[in-house]
Amino acid sequence: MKGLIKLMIKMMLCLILITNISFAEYIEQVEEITAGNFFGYGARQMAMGGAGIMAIDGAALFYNPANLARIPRIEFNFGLSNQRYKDISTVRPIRREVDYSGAVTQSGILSPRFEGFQPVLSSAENSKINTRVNSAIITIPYPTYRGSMVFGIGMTRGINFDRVFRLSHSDRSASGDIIALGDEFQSGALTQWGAGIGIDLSPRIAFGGALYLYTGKHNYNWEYALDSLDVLSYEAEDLIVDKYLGFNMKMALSMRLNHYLTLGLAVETPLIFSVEEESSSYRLLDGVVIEDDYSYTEYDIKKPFVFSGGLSAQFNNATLMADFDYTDWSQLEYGDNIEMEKENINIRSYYRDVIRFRLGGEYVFPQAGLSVRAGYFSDPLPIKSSFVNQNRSGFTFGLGLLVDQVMTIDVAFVHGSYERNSDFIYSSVKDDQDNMISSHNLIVDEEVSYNRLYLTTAYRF
Amino acid sequence: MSRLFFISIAICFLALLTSGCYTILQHPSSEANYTAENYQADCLECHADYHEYPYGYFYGQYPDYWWSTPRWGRYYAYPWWWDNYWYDGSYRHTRDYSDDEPSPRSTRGKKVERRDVLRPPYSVGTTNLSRSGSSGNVGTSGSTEKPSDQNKQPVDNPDNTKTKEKIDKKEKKDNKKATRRGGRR
Repeated sequence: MKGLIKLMIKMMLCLILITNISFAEYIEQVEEITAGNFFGYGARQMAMGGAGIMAIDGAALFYNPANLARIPRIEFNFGLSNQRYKDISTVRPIRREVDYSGAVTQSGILSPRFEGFQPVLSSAENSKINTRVNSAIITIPYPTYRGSMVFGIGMTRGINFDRVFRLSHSDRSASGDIIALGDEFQSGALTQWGAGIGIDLSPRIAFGGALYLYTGKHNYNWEYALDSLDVLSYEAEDLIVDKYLGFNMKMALSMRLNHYLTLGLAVETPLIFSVEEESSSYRLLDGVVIEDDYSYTEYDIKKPFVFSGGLSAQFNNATLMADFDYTDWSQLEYGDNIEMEKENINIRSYYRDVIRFRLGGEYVFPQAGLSVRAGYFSDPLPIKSSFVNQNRSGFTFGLGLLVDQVMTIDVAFVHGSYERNSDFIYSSVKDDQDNMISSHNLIVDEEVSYNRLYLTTAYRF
Repeated sequence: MSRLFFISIAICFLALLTSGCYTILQHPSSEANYTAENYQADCLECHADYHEYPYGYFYGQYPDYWWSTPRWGRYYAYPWWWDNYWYDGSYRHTRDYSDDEPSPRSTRGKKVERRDVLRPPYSVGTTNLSRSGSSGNVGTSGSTEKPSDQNKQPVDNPDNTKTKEKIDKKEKKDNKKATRRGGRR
């Protein structure tokens, strides 16, 4: 009898393990880490909720190149960032059955395959700390007889891939438990190289333009282990490396409406990435390698237009800033690869358009050379609301110091959080062509929170 | 193809904006006999609204504390190519004294200004430079005299000779400054 139970369990686990252990396929294929992923740069801007459209320093090269025209001195701007990222995942004690042929999704289904097993509510936590160079920018004002013409060149790491995730799940039965544990580790960043110009069109209007080149690498590592009743052990590891190369440009205006108000507008053209992906994966069943693959693919990603606006109000020693930008992420597209282009239809069912807004304030104590800043930001996740438990938002604060007449030191603290859910394929059935027919998914809720520190110093010659 | 299109559009747009726009890199050429001293020694001679929109930079929107706490103004408002005019003090010693000739010393008057406040260039001795929307003097005490004061003869001063010498030196200083600022002779 005991032998029969072991045999049944073994058969069941084989069915589980034949599948790729990953998020639901239709999501996985269009999940883009670069979408709606703004890390931020410039401690002054980040201390004010990330409102940077009308902030005037070297980071204007990336926020609003028109404001380069307001920088009268040769400036070297350098910044560091530190992030403490935490992810708490919880696996709901139900499964979701997804029928791919009929595109029918049902929740709370227990497959006969899992008869006798009861999923248990379980959670796991993982965290990661990273310190990176955040920005290095040089601005060079050209001597003018009237107006202003300023060039800027530099780099920033505005998109960050440092993330972690841990999955812990167990199925309980009278015979024992099935225990699954997964660890996801991601690292890397996109470096945005920029060269731009800001020029006065009138005493109160400045125009700016910048060209950006993006380079970067995304390392993805997934380790998964499953163990049950000493009957079977299974291990899987995926290592995926994506190399990005892309470019786009931004055009912007900065306008002084009156003595108190300034307005900034910017348009960022679609960003086209060329992606080279290498991956290796292996699967071990009871210590025996059952799969050891290497793959390579190339494709393009086209990110949509970004329309931005910002307003700044100056009252004596106080400045208030508000920014927004609009991006329709459902216009994200794959290209230059037929297989990937097939997924474009799924993009529309996964992504949506979002408006980010940031609000911040600064108060200056002139005699002390000190600025105190605080802000709030709302940065909605670019995915459909059914995948979102709580949208991304947070608060910020910071300090700025003007040393002598030539140097600023700014520090910012940012706290943000969001909650989302996703499917995790636990078991699936495939046809002869290796196409997924149906799957039983776990529903994983993630609570993500992060604390970021930014330190930026600028020296004006 | 689309990349090329975007770049072409951007270049054309930039070219249109920069041709004949507000920003001017050099002073427009004047009559042949109109020298640097003429138009740079005192911009107000040609540009009556110089104090409202000073050539070189528009400064009317700056916060009030930038004027009262000069380090803020210097950091955010002063173009680097103005600096030798006010910051490093070189404008105070424009005359080339030989080694044998002692530098002039005076036991009269106020001490030399430190860290002067915001003031547009080429306007020494000009006055009532008002910020937009206000009518206060821009400079410190050293810059509040009126242009006509330069030519006013002191009446009650017992030492008229010294005063004249000072005025002569000031004129020479202004000429040298104008030359140093790139004016053509």
